[in-house]
Amino acid sequence: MKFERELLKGIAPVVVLEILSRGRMYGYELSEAIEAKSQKILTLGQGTLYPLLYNLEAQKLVRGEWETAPSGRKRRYYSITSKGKEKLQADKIQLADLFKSLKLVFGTSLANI
Amino acid sequence: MRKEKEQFGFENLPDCAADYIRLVIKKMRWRKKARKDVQAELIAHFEDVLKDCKTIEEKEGTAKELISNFGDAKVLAVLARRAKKRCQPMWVKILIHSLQILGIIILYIAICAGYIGIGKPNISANYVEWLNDYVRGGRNESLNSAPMIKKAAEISIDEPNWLKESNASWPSDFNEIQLKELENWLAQNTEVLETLRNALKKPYYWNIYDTNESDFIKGGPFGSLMKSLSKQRMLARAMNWQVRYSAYKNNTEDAINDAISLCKFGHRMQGNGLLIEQLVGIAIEAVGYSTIFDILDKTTLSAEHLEKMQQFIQQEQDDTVIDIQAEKACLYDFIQRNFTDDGKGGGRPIRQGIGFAGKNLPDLIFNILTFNLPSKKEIIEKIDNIYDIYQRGFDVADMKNIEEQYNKTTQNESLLLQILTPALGKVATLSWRAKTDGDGLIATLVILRYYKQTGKYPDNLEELLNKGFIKRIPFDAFRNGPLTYRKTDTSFILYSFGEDFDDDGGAPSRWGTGKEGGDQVFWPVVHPAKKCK
Repeated sequence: MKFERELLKGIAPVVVLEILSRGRMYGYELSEAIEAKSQKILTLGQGTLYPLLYNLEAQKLVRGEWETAPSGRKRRYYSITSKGKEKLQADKIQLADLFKSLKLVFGTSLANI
Repeated sequence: MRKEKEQFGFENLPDCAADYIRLVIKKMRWRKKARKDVQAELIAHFEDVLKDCKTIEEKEGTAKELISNFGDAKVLAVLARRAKKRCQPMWVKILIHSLQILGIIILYIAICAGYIGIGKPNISANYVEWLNDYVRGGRNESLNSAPMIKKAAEISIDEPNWLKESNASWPSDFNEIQLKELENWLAQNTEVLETLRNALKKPYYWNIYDTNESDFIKGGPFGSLMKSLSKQRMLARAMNWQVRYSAYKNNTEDAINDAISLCKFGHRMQGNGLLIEQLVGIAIEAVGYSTIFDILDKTTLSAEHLEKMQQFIQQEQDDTVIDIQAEKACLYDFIQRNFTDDGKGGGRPIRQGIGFAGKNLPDLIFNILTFNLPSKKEIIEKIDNIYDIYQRGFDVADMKNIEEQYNKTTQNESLLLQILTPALGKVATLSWRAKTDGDGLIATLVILRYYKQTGKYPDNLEELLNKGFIKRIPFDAFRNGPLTYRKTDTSFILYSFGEDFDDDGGAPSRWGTGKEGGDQVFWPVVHPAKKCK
């Protein structure tokens, strides 16, 4: 499903950090994982994924390392850093508050759409 | 093609995917390592997506779908570049920004340097030719003593080294061997001194400057002049010793005539040539005066001899005015060679002309960097104004006020003018020293004659004027008033205040420049050992 760009912009880094908090992954694996975990509701455009990863790396929230997979392919694996974990924790609290407030505003109508 | 694909890791990708990735990398325009990383990551991503495709067609179709999912290659490239840039460590970012700023500064400085370094001057005037016409002043060449003086200087024999280093002022100070050597040296220069005497029968002295090289600064007129002036100073020293030797041998008539020639020699060189010539002239004239003072001190002259010398010095004193127009021409030449020319008298400084752009180094740099450069017209006007003020300093005898005026004039001027103009001030001081020296000598000659004729010294200088011995009261430029005269028990004292502008009661010093000031004492004659306070 395609979300409004601005709506996705704030959520995407949290989603990536959350997925990576469960284990390190390379780019393709990560995009597949996001789709799978969100039951294909949340799909990051492939063109968005890599710049997003590079940005998170610049903020030292994730770390990328080249490794040769058992298949012989070289891949860049991304893992969450301790700083990333702290950020994720803080973002999750904010998201929870956001959902709570959205629920209050929309009431049951949000669930019925 | 296949080889190229293998080389860059595209061998497992369909052409459309390889082209897409290449385009992204090309548009990224960032560091090679970052581009290589992104390329490898995209290739791995495409390979992962395409790994389950069985046929080439299927691969092509899936790749196209993926490309469309990735979106516009340019947008991806830009986003990747921005993100990769953010990945740089802080020190690298600071370093890069610093280098960028430094680069901009260097570029700006290069532009400024180019602005002052590039530009064509318009050499329209030959100031050396102008100078030759100016110093000659339309006179006939047969009236010029300079060529004969130069000839005499060239063939003169240098004085012995021991004499150069000696402090002695009179032949009686030498031992027998030294006296013999002095006589030999003077004998070797007999023809030279005779040539000088004959030359000085001609009423004028003007140099003929070498026009082969018209650039003053490159040495045009100066090159040969400096060598020639040095020889002329040697010639003056020979004449100086000839005078002293003649007086010592009681050849009073010869001594007086040669002393007058020596003063003439120095006097003629002053006038309207280059300042360096005029300075040498002042120095030679001072040697002449000093020699006459020593003759007065060591010998007894008749009233006629005293009057003869007085008449001569008086005549010379009245027509001495230092002229700095030749020096100004030198500066004009410098300007025409170091300013561009816009054809309307304007233009900007280039090369050494930049010295006119600021009053000190920081100001100069600031003005260069802000392109705030003075125009040629502006600088010429300033030079004219400053030279007018300095010329007045040569014409008006008020040394104290002149110095203050000079300082005010140059205070806020450009670096180059600040460097050049104090030299003019110094010449003015020397010129007034020479004039005061001349007046001191006239006064001494007259007072001694007065004593010979009346048997007593005058009570004051006005008495000499009232009794017709002098036409005007001898003047002290460093007091802006009469020379200081007092009768003593057996003789008299006569002095100038000197450059400290105050009365130190006749304490001898070299023009008041001693630690505690002092005065320039003309009479009684102060010998070198006692001279400097």
